[in-house]
Amino acid sequence: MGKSALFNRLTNMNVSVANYTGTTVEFAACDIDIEGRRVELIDVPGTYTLDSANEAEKVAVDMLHEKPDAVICTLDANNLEPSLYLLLQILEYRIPTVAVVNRWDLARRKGLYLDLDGLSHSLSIPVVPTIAVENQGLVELRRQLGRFLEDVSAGAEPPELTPDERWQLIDDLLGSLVRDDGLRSAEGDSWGAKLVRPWPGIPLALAVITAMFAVVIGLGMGLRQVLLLPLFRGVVQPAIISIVDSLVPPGIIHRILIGEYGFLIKGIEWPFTLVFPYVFSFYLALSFLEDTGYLPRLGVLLDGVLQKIGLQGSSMIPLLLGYGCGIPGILATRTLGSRKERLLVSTLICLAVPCISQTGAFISLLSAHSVGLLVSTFLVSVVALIASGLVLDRFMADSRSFTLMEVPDLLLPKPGILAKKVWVRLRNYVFDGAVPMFWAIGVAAVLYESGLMAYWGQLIAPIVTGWLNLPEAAAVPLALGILRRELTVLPLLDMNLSTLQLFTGAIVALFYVPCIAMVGTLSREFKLGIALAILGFTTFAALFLGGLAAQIGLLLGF
Amino acid sequence: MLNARAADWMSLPRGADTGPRMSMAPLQALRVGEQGQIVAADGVLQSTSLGIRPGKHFRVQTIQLMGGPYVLSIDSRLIAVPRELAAKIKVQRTGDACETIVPAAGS
Repeated sequence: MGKSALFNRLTNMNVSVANYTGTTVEFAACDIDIEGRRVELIDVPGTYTLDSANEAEKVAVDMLHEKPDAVICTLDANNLEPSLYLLLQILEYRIPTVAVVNRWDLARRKGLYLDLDGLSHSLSIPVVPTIAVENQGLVELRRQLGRFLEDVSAGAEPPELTPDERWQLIDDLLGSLVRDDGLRSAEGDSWGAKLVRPWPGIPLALAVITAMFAVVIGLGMGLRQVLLLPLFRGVVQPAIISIVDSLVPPGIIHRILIGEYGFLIKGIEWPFTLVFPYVFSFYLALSFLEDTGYLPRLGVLLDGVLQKIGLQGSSMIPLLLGYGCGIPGILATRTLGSRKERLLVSTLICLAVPCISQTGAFISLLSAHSVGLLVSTFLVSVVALIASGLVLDRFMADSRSFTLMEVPDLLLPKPGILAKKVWVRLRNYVFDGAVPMFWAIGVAAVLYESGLMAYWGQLIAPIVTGWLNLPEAAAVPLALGILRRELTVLPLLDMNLSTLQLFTGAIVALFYVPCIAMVGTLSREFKLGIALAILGFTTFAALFLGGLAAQIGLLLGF
Repeated sequence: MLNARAADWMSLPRGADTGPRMSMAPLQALRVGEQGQIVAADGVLQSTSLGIRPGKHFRVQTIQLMGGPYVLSIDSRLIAVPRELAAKIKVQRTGDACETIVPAAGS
């Protein structure tokens, strides 16, 4: 309902925002200046009530127990009832509270009018209307906060109420303070309802998914072929080579810099021309869908199917985020109701959901050779997702939790907010993805040129050449893959592999270990043992299934 | 002062206790397009915050395929209710159209 949007406006930070419940799963803090006073503002995950139902909501409730000096409670102007319930619960903590009534514009459009002064008087707290995404009401909010912080004792002490009494109070407040002109079935809402019905919802869902694929692959490929590759091959690469040639005499250092694994070449070409275009196109498409409020609809439509593999509609968003990067995917599982589901979805993300870097690498490796190969690799990933869901569902203890899900209003994304979101995600990719990739390739270059990689290659030759039927050099991606997922794929590019070898390499890469950052996230979110178990499980699955593909392919005479 | 009026207001829609008893049923028994009023939703986590509490009017917007959830419109919100929970929610069918409900879109 806009807590994070409001937080971003007040702090100039870029916490992620989207049009569905549970976008924020951890808290973010920032020092800001309110009317000359330095305060620390903390953004917490949303919650319907203070009886937290999942781990994300627990963060918010815990924060309240830390006794903050003041609370800004964000109410949704189009959905006042639950917002007021939470507000009343917070007021009982006797912490000075300001109520912000956000999404004021949407309420107006629906014909809802709220008597803000009346609300302020009834509850004896300041009430400020805002439209956070349009930066409206923020000046007034700062002013109110400033005045409020001068005298934080403001506000009456409300009695503790039972839930029923709270609802009575809310009904009464709404009855006397809200005027409803009944314009609710606006155009957007009627589509909002249509899209969640099997007809025409399911055909349209297929169309949306297809369109998303088309945008990600089409736009990504176009960007790469037309802009980035010519730019790199034509301008950047020759420049780097001539600079290095003039400064470094031929020898091992020269080869480390611009040789076969030359990290000034591959370390820039791979992250920025092969992977970056898909990161851009994926996050453009995903961010757009996030802001429309379509994703929860997709979850509801596919809930029945997902249940067959132990998941629920609510698992949809973590999985989709996982196709971008596993880490936000795993963090987003905090909104799921049970630990079993969290673990199941996280394992699936590690095993069978390639991140966008890896997908970009797959496209680079396979599409030039044959599109069929690319399609079959993705089919294998989907089959693996379903199969492992079925198997894991059986083996994991703990009962499933059923949760109600709110389907948000359908909104047209605001270009400014969308652009900012994509920008933040690209920046994250550069700093958390491309830079580590650059250094990992640097390490590889050193290992390769120093001959240590050849030693490693001989060590695991029985697996690589014997079982997987790949050249000995394919030991390199198996080592690098631990650092970054796409590096299980990219080194295969220059190895002149046969079709079968490409497929084998792709299968191994698909299931191979989650990158080191994901293992870190897993051990933080669950525990080290679970992270190591997933590590072992994925490695085994990768080598076993990759080898199986290779051996069967050989038998069939490929 | 608020609660006195609140009590008046609240005594009306508590469907189960007032007026002639109409057919009481679990939510699961309703079909798409049917309207009703919530009677009880005990043991359903977060139900009240999502508008599923006694007295609330709703309409069954759709029921998903393959055992997927019920989608109700309550006030102006759409709430997906898994079937397992739909069995726990007791409702009363209301025959006539009710003003607090979003007109069914597209049907």
